[in-house]
Amino acid sequence: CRKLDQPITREYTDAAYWRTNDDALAALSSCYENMSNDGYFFGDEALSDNAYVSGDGFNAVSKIANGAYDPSNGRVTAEWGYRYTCIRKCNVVVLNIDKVPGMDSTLKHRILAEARFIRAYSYFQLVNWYGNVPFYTDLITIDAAKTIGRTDKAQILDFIQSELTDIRSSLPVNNYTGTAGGYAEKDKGRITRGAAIALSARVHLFKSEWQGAVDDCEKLIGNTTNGTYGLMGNYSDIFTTANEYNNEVILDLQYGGGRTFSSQRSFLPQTVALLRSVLVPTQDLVDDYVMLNGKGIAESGSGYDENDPYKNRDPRFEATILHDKSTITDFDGKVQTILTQPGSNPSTNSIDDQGASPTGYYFYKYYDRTASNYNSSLNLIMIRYADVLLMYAEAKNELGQLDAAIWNQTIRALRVRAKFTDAGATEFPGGTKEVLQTIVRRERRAELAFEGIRPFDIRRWKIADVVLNKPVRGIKVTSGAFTKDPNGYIIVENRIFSNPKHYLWPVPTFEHDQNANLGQNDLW
Amino acid sequence: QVAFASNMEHPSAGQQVKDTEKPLENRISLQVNNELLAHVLERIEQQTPFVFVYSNDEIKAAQKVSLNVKDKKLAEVLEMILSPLDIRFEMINNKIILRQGGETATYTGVEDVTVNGRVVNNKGEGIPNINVRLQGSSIGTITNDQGFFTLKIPAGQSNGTLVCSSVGYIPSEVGIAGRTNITIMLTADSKDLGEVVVTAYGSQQKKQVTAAINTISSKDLQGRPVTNMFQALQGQAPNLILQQNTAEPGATLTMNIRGVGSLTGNTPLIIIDGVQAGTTGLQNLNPYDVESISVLKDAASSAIYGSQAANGVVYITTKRGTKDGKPGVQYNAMYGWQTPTTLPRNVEAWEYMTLKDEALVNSGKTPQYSPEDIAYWQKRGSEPAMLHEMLRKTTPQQSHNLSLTGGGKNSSYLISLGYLDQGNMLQNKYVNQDFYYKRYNARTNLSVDVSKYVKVNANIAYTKSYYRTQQPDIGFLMRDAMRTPRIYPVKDSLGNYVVPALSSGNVIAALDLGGYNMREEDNLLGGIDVTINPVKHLSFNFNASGNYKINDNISRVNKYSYAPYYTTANPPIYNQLSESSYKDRNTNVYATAEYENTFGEHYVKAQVGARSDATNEFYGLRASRYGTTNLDDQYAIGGGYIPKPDGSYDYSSIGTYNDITNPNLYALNSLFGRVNYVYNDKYMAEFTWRYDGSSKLAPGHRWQFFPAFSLGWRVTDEKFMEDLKRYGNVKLRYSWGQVGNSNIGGYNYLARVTLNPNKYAFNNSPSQGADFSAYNETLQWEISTMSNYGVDVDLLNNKISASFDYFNKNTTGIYLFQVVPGTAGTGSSLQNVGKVQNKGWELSVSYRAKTGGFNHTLTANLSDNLNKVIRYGEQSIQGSDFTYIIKEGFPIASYYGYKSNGLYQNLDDIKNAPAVPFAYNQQVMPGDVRYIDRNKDGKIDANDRYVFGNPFPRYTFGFTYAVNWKNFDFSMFWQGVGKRSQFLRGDIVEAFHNNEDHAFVQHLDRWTPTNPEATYPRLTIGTADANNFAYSDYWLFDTKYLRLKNLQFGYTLPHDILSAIKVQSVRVYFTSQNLLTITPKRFRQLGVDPEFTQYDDKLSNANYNPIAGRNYPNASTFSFGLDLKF
Repeated sequence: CRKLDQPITREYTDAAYWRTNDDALAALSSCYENMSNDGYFFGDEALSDNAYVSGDGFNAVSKIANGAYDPSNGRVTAEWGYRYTCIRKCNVVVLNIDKVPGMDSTLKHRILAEARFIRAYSYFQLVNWYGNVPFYTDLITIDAAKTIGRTDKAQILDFIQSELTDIRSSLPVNNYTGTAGGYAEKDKGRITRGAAIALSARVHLFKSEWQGAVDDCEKLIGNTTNGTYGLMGNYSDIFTTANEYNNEVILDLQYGGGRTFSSQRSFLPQTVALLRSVLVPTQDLVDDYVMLNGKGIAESGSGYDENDPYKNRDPRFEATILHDKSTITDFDGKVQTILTQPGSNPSTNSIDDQGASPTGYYFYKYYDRTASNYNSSLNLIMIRYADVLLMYAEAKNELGQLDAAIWNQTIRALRVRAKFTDAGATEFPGGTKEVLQTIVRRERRAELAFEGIRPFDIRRWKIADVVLNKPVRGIKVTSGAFTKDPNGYIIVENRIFSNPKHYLWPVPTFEHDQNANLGQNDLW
Repeated sequence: QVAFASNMEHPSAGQQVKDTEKPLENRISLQVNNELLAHVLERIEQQTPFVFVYSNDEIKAAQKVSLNVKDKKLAEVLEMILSPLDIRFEMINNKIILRQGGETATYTGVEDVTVNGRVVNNKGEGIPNINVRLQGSSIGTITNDQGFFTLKIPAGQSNGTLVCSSVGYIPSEVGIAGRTNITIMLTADSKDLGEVVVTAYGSQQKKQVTAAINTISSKDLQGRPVTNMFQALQGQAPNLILQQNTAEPGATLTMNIRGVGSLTGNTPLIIIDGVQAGTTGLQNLNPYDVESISVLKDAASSAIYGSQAANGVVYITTKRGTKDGKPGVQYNAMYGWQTPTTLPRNVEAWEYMTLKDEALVNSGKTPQYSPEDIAYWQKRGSEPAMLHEMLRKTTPQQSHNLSLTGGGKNSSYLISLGYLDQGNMLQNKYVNQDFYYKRYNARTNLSVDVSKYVKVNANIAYTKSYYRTQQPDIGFLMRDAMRTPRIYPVKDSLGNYVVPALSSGNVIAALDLGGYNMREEDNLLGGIDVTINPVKHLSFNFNASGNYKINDNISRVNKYSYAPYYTTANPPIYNQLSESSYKDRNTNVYATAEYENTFGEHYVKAQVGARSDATNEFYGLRASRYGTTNLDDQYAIGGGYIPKPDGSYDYSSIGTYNDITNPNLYALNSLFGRVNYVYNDKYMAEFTWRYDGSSKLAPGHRWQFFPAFSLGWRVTDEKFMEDLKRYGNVKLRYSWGQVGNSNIGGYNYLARVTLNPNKYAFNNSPSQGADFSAYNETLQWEISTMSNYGVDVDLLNNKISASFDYFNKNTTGIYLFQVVPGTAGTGSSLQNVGKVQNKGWELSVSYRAKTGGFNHTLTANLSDNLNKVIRYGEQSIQGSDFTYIIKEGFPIASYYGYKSNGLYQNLDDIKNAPAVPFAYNQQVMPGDVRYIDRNKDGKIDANDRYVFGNPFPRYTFGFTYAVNWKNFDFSMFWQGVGKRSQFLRGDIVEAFHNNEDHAFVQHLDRWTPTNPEATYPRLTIGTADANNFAYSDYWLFDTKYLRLKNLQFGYTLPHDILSAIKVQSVRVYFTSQNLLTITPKRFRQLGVDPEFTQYDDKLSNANYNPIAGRNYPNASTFSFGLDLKF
């Protein structure tokens, strides 16, 4: 007769946890893991005018992009739960760390700061998508979660801001030498003081608090007390496994050590990654890359030739996008020429093919040729120094302070790094705030394309109802029976973005069904 | 005239034989020790009016015999003395004539042969009033009170056949084969009220049964080309409901009794000869070994099994030998072919092109095919559908069974061997792989009377099963095959596999080249049962049993390529060989003490027992090898790397990885008891209780007491009912009881921390992560309370018998992983919540009739059950492929979504329509599905949802008609569901689902301006389908069905042929399973089998395949069978 008290042998119980530093660090690693993932990182690009997803890929983001969604949408539902799961994990760390006996105070405050950063980041994502959301910092009970109301977005943003300020002093910098105030080599990938400052700058920017953004950026630009940052020599080198942890990186999602992602199979040409290409760049993004002379393609004197459209373009274009006749070295080391025009031979990557890109373009940035079985262990960069420079330029311009000095420190530096040489591109153009705003925004789009930034930029700039309220276009074709716009560009799909309704996602039906106190966003 | 021979003129059943006509009933006492036979016979003559007549030449009267009998019947005494000496006796007037048995034949030429015999039941007790007839003649008699009979048959017929039959017993035919003394065993037909019913920890006379119990006899299962017992049980008992998630060879079915009351599993407790066998045990059971099945349905009958029996009990008794039985050998064989019952039908090539273009244009996109393309394919004709090429039309299946039964004076045995080989439909003509399900069964059942006081039963069954299947998952294969339009052949003219444009490969290539999975399962199931009767009325029973299972899995992934085709397909790029082994052990021990006595009109039985069950589950070994070069099965060749437990790879070493994880250990300890009381065979009462402790529940909530009682009243035995008694019997039953359920995973009451060594990475090194599970520290029993009202009727001497039951089952504290708002940020924990009611009724009727030479049997059962959530608190809505709701007043897991109201026909319709914010471009079009704006706020949103149905089968029925005539027999068994609906989605419903390339025949009837009455909305592709494929009742299908589950036609060879070849009986037959199915047209068109369900027994959405029509098809089977008895 066996006893009823059977030992649990496969898992720990909570009662036996929080005994060592490693226990706390393991709980913290779970927070990191829930900060973001490759699906959101890449898929969200299709929530902007940079990219398009065909079919139901990336949790059917296309349904959101073309306005065919309601509060029961799977993507809208998933994001809510995903963020609160992370917030709870962070709260677990924050509320339990004191249980660990004899923990070094520096380590304790570092762990607390890391968890608080991740919690702040999660709330930041929540308010950006949903506006007002439930807000708490305790281990909310399930019953309480069924009655909690929503807190004003501004109040949550204030919390985020104060957290990001508060934790700075507890966070080591990015020197990775293990000396005082710096992380050890083994801690590469953790939240740094620089990350807290950069995220704070981003929050200010999203709140149009230009001076706050400037102040934060200046803590990182030309100032090494909060970490040593700079630009990589070569733009495309930033996104390679060989250059992980380069000094342009401020915050990145960690892959490696057996942790991998497979998203690149969805955006590379099907002849390279052997899967249908569903996440693809739009003609709109392609058109926004300037010419080598710094002019937009539509500007007079740009030298743009619609029949040879990829000539003399921003070098970052080639580093980001594959177009007709681009070459790519595939996983087997073979150089492939990508042909996307209809009637190409072979037609495998051309828009005639059902599995090929429907726009005639492919993403190339973040192609990891070292991936084993297509599964990449490349870190995904959430904040990099170039972003800080661009935020700085933007904030300064909004303050009416974008002058040649600031220009040279920011946009010129980025363009020189991108290998622009024409003075038309590198020298301060001058002009009104509005003219410069266009240039700064376009620069931001080109520099940070396919890095998950654009979907939020078009929403905070309130241009989403313009750029997302028109068809997704692909390449210009001269043959074949395609649905085309008057200029001969393929129309892939129409998009609708209702202003102001679509600037916020609705409270998901799943949540609303369980908590009537949540209310609903306007017009939903 | 001979006394018994007088019965020959009146062979009718039921005739009362008066005492004076039963001279062999004379009782004598005799004590002789080693005396001469002649003296013994003399002493008998002194006690009876008979004289013995015999020839001294023939009968050696000097033989010595010993005997000690007291007050025994003459016939029995004569048997005892004469049988061992091979002396036959026959009575003429007051003379008993003795003859030496072996030389009977010398008399056959000159006069009739007298055959003496006895008809006994399976306990060796004589059965009175059995009709014994010489086949093909009018010669017959009936047995006396002790089951004896004597029959004179013409000399030439001494190799003929005796047919024994009576209402309540399965007719038996026995070859005389020259014998003059024959013992014939008849098996009670379990439909009869007179039978003995196996109940929990014992058995009971059916007439005394007060609980809701159905029995199924081996006869009901005979000749069915089923591959496991699940299939055999379908439709056999009312409210025993079986449905399928998948029909892959070797797959089990989901089973419930009286519906679904729990969300943690509704599978009944399965017991085989007292051994707790589980679904594995049932799956591995050789159907030929089954003697009878009791289905214990109400709490009163199952409560004594306590917590394991909250969902009822299926108690299976296997066949045994008979004591003093002559060794009998039986061989059964069946060979047949399986073919899919139904399959989705892809449209013709040109139709596909037309539909695809139409869908693209409707979605604002560019058409893909030119009119010239379409015209070309219309002229050329289509390629065969990939799906129909992938699934073989005739797939063989065979089974063989050999059994040996017999016994000595104190023991009996059964030894049986079984073999089943079910081919796999995926092993089509292109495939150079063996896919199959094979099962080898061996069973030994022994019964030994060790002494007058001690009886031992031992059963042991060993099963070895092989499941050899394809490497890719069936769902992917079906999906990709279904998605292939009929413009692609399987292979091109050079013999290369062709890859369809959007496909991730060629499904048939994946079958042919992709490798295999092999699962070997060893299952040892057995038990020893010892009964000790130290004194009269008192008995002790000790039982120890176990169920031990080992699964060995081999997965072989082969590298292959589609060269010269260029493809997006992703065939495996490494060879891979993985092995794993899993062990599972259950042991049960119990002991009971029982007192049974009769005091005048009072019958009393009392029982107490104790029981302990233990479960260990653990993985043994997992190992895997990868390599870019070839690997052989012994890992001998090839480099490669080894996966580590954290999911990363060890590139440095070559070897295997061992992963011994700790076991999960569970325990369940119980005390139980039962009291039965019967007065005058008229009033019956039973009380049972059980006190259960489960290790899976929170401390302080582990022990629970479960009482039950039942009452019975045989109304027609009352004096005032005497007038009605001659028409039949009526018994009323009532029962009430509680049972508990702790059928959940362990440790749910503990806050657990799950460590994942590879949760995150810093500096490209794995970092361990910890996750905290939700838990419930007050986790307690889920308790069902069931009342049952029943009536049993038998009419016209059992010609008609019927039972009706009504039940009401309330389950409280239902285990539910509560749906947690995302806001909480935590997983859900197992809770005891709410209350669910299951109400239903059951009717079963059987009727026997004889018209001319035809013997007809009709049996039918019909039942209904519906659950309803009585108390739940807040409603819970869940699901991803469709939504369902748990809400007070509705069945658990009801479908939830929009209600449709036809299709929009024109722009005027749309102008007046509510806004549909989730539609593509927020604009519906003519031909789109129209939803009802429930709250009339001018837009369709979450507030407009309805509960619009549920997946539970209602009005389930089974109907059997059997008839035999001369040597022919025929039977058909219909089974079905009277009301049921199912929500279907994905490929099977949506043309061009997810931008794919498929369209089926039902899509031809799509809406166009010229086809306004269409059954399918306008064709769309991509996100343009957002409106039409919202969760709505438009995609709810009526899936009731009527199915000819089994049809049999048999012929038994006449005995004059058999005697020549020394065979006792031979039956050849044709049998067919799932021959014919009738379903509503809209569902039938889809080509999906109606028996499929997406739910597992926990009502969780276990399997997406059934929803999307991606199941391995159910099979129609056509078989020929042979039954031989030696």
